[in-house]
Amino acid sequence: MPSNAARRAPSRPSSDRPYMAETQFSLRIPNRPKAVRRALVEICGRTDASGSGPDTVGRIEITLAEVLNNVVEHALRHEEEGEIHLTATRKNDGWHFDIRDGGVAMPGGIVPHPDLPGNNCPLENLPEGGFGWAIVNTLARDLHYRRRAGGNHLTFVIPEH
Amino acid sequence: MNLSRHETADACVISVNETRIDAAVAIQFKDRMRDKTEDAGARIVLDLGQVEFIDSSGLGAIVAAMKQLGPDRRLDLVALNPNVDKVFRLTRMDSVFRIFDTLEDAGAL
Repeated sequence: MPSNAARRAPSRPSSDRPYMAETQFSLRIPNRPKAVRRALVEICGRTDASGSGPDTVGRIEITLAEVLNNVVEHALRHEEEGEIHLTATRKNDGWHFDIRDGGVAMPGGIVPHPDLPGNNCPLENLPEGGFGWAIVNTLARDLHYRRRAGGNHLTFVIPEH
Repeated sequence: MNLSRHETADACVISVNETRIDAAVAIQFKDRMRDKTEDAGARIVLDLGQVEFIDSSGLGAIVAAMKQLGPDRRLDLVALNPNVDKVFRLTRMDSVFRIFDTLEDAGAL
């Protein structure tokens, strides 16, 4: 659950109110692509303010974009006003993410492991989608998915080197 | 989705005047690319210098933009920021596109 401090945090980044260095924060993200975009900008600001380098912040943004957009496009697709609950915690080995939604389950109850197209894939056969989970599987460590209490619960770590 | 176009001796250069190509604008990007490249010649160069972030939807839209050019025209990419470059490498799409650091390197000045 989000802490009280996190709940009071501004929902949007503001250039005249820089983020404090913090080791944990929580966000509630409405199930819309533009809300995901705003959340990603905010999360980058917060992880950057906590002292994480640009490479780490970049890997966090790329991974979370795929995870959060997947929830919006699939799990919460039929919800008028769904919400994603995200908690980020910085530990010695990196940023630990806990992401929950009340949408429909992941097909098969597991995180997809799609293959990327091979190097000799002809142009006309190149996929225009399906790259998302390949990216997540590459960048995230300790990726776990559980279905419980009518919702989805995904946890993973973005390591800091 | 703001795209601008100019012609050089050897290429049609499309500049993306946005900081993000993501799930919120991917379809718009693909449609605007179709409009901008409809009457373009054989070589199109996409200048991504202002783009700080793409996700897999944005990447899919760039792949779609290339495919909709057909077999006789090509799409090259220029000026990938570190995070954009990362997404191309992670998905091996860096082996599908020709990628140049600058318009000069791409021979499209």
